[in-house]
Amino acid sequence: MTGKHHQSRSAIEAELLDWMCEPVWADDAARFETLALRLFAFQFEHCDAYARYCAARDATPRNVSRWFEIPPVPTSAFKAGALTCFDAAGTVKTFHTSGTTTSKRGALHLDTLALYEASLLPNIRRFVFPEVDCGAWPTMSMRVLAPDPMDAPDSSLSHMFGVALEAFAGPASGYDVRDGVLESDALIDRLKSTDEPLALCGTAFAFVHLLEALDGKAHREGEIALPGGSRIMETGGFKGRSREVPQGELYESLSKRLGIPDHHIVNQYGMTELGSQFYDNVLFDDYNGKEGRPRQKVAPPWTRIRLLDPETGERAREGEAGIVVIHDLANTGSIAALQTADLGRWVDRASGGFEVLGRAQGAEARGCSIAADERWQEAHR
Amino acid sequence: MSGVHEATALMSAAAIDEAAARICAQSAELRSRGASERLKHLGDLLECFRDPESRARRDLESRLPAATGFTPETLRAGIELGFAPWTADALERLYAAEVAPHGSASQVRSSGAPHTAVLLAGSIPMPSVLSIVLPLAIGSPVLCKPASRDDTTARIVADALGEIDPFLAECVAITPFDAQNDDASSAFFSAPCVSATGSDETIDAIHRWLGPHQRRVLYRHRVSVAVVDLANVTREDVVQLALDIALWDQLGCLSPVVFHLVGGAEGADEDFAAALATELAALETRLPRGAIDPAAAVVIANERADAEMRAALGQPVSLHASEGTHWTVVLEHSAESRPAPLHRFIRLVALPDRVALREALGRLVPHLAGVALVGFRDRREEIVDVCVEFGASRVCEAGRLQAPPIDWKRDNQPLLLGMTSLATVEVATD
Repeated sequence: MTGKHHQSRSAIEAELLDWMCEPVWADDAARFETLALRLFAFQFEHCDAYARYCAARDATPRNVSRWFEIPPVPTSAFKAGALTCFDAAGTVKTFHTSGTTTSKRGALHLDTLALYEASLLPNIRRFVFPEVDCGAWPTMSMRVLAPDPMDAPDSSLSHMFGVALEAFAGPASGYDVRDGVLESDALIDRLKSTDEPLALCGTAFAFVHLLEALDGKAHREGEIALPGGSRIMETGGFKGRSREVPQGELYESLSKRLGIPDHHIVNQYGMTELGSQFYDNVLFDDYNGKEGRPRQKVAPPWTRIRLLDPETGERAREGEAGIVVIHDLANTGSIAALQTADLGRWVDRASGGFEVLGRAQGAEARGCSIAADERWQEAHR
Repeated sequence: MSGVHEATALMSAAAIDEAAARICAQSAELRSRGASERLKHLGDLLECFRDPESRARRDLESRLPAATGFTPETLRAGIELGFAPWTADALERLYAAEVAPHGSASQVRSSGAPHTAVLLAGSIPMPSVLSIVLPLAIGSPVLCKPASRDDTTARIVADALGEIDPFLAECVAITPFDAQNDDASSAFFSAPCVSATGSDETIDAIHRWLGPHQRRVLYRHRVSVAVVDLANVTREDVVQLALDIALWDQLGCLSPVVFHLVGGAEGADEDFAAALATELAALETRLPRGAIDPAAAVVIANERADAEMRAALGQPVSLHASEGTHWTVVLEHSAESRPAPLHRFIRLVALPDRVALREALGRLVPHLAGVALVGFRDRREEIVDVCVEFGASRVCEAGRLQAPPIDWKRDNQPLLLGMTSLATVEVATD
């Protein structure tokens, strides 16, 4: 990396860090466009494979003038090789995607965690702990239904929980997965005994395991009513794995068994290859008096979502499902424009609110949820 | 009531029980008619489907595009090719080979179950037709759940049977039900014999419904391939291989999902990929692919982008593709498992030698069904042996994958024996 280019990336990152730290999320289209184009130019120049990929599409910094003209790479490409804009020696962290024992795992290499963490913190605070933004931070504890980042150093999900837990979680916070096993009895005892609101965070699979454990105990002990203000942050679908529970059914069960209202259950859409995440609006809306909006995912200002018709590659028509393409400026060291294998639909096109309809059938199963489940299965074996 | 008159609404457990009782009541008469009479009428049914002018054939061709999503052109071509070998004589030969009484000092007598529950799957009509015909051939009435992607074929079969032999039609009850309805599933799978086709997950779930004494003929997830000797491949071979891909839009277990390429001069693999792409483009005009849902299109779009990205990373991958998602050819040089998006998306894997071919075929165990062999000349038997060793149930020429003989040992098993009770009857000696 030359000094000039290093400066260039540093400058982009400095501006992004400022943006991420701003207390008010303003949708600044011009700012996004400028930064996206500068970042594209940087990544085109520093990632040879990406440059060849873009050139084959006749998209170069010379002729790309709008952010949405920047070619996205498929997330599966992170399995094929290192997509980085820095020397391998500079890697400080590598996150791996989940995968079966027979499939390759994707890898996101990072030479800095500053932007990654700067992006995740305001996002999780805004949508899972909106009291912070309202200036009334209760000392809410987080119970994490995922491994400690020390036990799963290559899991971006565990890392995210670790950062959040360190930043603003209460004293009774901790991890409830040990050696790949959900310690459900201890967790249920904790849930039953707490008189303070809790935030339960984990994969969809983990919550299914918790519900199964509660089913086993329910006959003896009845249902749990967590203190008011408790909430759930659930991430990851079922990705084609067994014991799938539709989201509505899962949330209904969690509401019923834990006494947490539906609008206090927040889904997070994220993936290892991304620096930013997308959360449901429901809890944020509840705390900000915006009742009535349907459940939808909100894109932070330094990201953009596109939904593309998979047949044509053009914008999906209004009301129709399309491939979810994400432009995430937090991905400075890899590739900012990603084409997922997920189908999405606009819920509120004007505000950018969208929903994820799920992974296209036939695509490879992947995701944080699976990694956790496989660990359980291995432990049980 | 025969299938001809049954309503399309999803049925309850009680309605399924009633239908089962109704067809069971025909069981004794069906058996008493004797195999030759049953086979004659069922042979007539097959001949109907072979005859382009018959009402049954016209019904299939006119009604299935809406029911299944195949284009009329592709459907017509698939039906023409698929039914061609299924003659009345072929059915008789199948019966004779598997269950006809034989022997001298003793006789083997056969009997079908009082009724057979047949769970159809997919959207290709030939296997659905055969799944209904086979139990009837051995004298077992049929309780039939249509496939979710084809609610039409079973009814057309029942209608056609009604015209040939109303009694045979009364031995078929079509019982659509919601697979999530446990009571209905329980009623359906309580049949003394069950024949089903489905994904591995579906078949595993069906196993859990069945008791130890129920007969079962179960067909699981399978894939097919072609093995191409690039040193001896002709233009006509390429045309026929393209047809194998295009027919049924690659949605059948006999549709090839990957071509293994061996031998040939340098660049022969690229030439083959380009030639195949040309043929698929030509077929898109003659036999257009059916519309696909957005989820399927996403998989294709992503696999194309993935191939391009791997090429950009310096890997030896090349892509030939249509404007939309209509057809795709990806040439790889690694036999690593990759998604099969189907809908005319073919991977060509160039392998360095026969050892690599063996490894590649070995990776398909236990899912290998059909193999189209191209070239190989004097080494053909050797390659056939490898295919059979790895579980292939069928080896054929290019262009023939979608035209299996009626006695094809699908999933490596006999068609009739699995649903037939056999008894040795010893002849009294003086």
